[in-house]
Amino acid sequence: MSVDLEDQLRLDMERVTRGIRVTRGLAVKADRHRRKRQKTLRVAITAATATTLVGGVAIAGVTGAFGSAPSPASARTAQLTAYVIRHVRSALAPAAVDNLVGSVRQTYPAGTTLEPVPGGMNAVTGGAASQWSVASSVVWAYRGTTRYAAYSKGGQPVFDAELTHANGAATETAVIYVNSTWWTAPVQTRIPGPVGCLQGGGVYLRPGPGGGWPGFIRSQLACGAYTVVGHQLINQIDTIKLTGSAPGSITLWVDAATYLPLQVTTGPLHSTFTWSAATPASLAPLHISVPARYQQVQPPPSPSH
Amino acid sequence: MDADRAVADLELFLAERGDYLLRTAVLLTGSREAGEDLLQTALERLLKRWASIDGNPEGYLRRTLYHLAADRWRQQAALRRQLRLLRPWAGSVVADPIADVELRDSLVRLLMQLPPRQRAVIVARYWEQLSEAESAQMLGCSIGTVKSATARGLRRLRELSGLPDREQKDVARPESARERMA
Repeated sequence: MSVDLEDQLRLDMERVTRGIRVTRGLAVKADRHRRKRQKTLRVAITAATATTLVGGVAIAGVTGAFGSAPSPASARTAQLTAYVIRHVRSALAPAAVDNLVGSVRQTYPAGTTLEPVPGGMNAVTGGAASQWSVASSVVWAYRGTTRYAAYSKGGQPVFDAELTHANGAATETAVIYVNSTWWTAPVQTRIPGPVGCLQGGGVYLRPGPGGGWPGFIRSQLACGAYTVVGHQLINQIDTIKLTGSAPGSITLWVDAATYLPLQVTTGPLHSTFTWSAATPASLAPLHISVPARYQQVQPPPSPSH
Repeated sequence: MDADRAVADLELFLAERGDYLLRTAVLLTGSREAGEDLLQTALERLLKRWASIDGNPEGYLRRTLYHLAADRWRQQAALRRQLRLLRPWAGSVVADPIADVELRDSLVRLLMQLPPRQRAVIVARYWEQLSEAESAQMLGCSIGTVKSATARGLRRLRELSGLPDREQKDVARPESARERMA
């Protein structure tokens, strides 16, 4: 079958931009910005004139008032960092990731136990081995649905949990492989607060739209203490590495082409991400099924926080 | 006050034509955010020259959009060069810093990989449906340049997309509305 590139191009241009509406008040905004720039320009011209008149004294005064001037290298790094962070935040915006199936593979330190409860996990690190001992997990997320699969050190499934949001309500179903039981329960959904800087370490994934890993990473980057430290090849993919200077910061590797995160480390937790277009194959792992003969049990109590 | 009147007139104009202009800006820049930014900058220039614009401002706005987009590509190319300086190894990797996730897997995303002139020509010809002469006039270049840039751009898109070549067809000839009516 012959595909007409030009027709496809027209269709794609139409499809990609369909629904784009200009914001009301853009002319007012442009006018305000223009006036501000004119004012700034006038101030700059006045300052330059004063500096020229006073000569060396004016330069000394400026240095004294503002401390040592930033070096060109640090200014360039700051500019690059701002540029990269802006694109990472844009790539992780709800409207952008909504069309992607994200999956996260995590490895846990020895002695980690995870028990699924409605709306969360009871987690312990450094504890004794139990039926809830997990070594790794894979999480798939697409729009309002999240599946969390946990595995033992030997790679055996420990449990599967599926959380589905629809019409403002959420339901979680968990299958516990280690004792052949399952439960289902409604989950308390909270309206996500404004996405801002979340500091203090740990990973807090808010449920629902705008939450999850994309929301968490966006909130971390909003803290403003991150720096681009260089490029790194991960599985033959060019990535940009960002590190944070504040306590509890994450280290992040983003795809240099798409700006989507590929790896995140926070404390002992290491997470690897993949992002795929929503297709029947990529959506298939999102849903769990209860094996025949598994016994339904009462769900455990929800986390107290 | 004249300036306030100009802004009010411009808002009315945008209510009618703003969506189309923004869609053009998004195609030229590759993202909604950058497109809005581009359109706003073009509006600032228009307001600055409002008194000297006679009649419909759309032509001036569209020309400004295309010319500003080329400026921004130059700025972004400089940033990409700086990013490469941070790499610990030699060799080039295709980077697409203005790609948006929603453009993934579409020809529009591949458009971002074309050089500025080819991309502008493709947007003018296939989005705006301008003839070669109209495109040349808006972009401030010759008809020959439009023809060659279109052919090269389409050839590159075909390579990037993996779409098969059309047999025995001139690849660069969308008819403009004006040509169809003639």
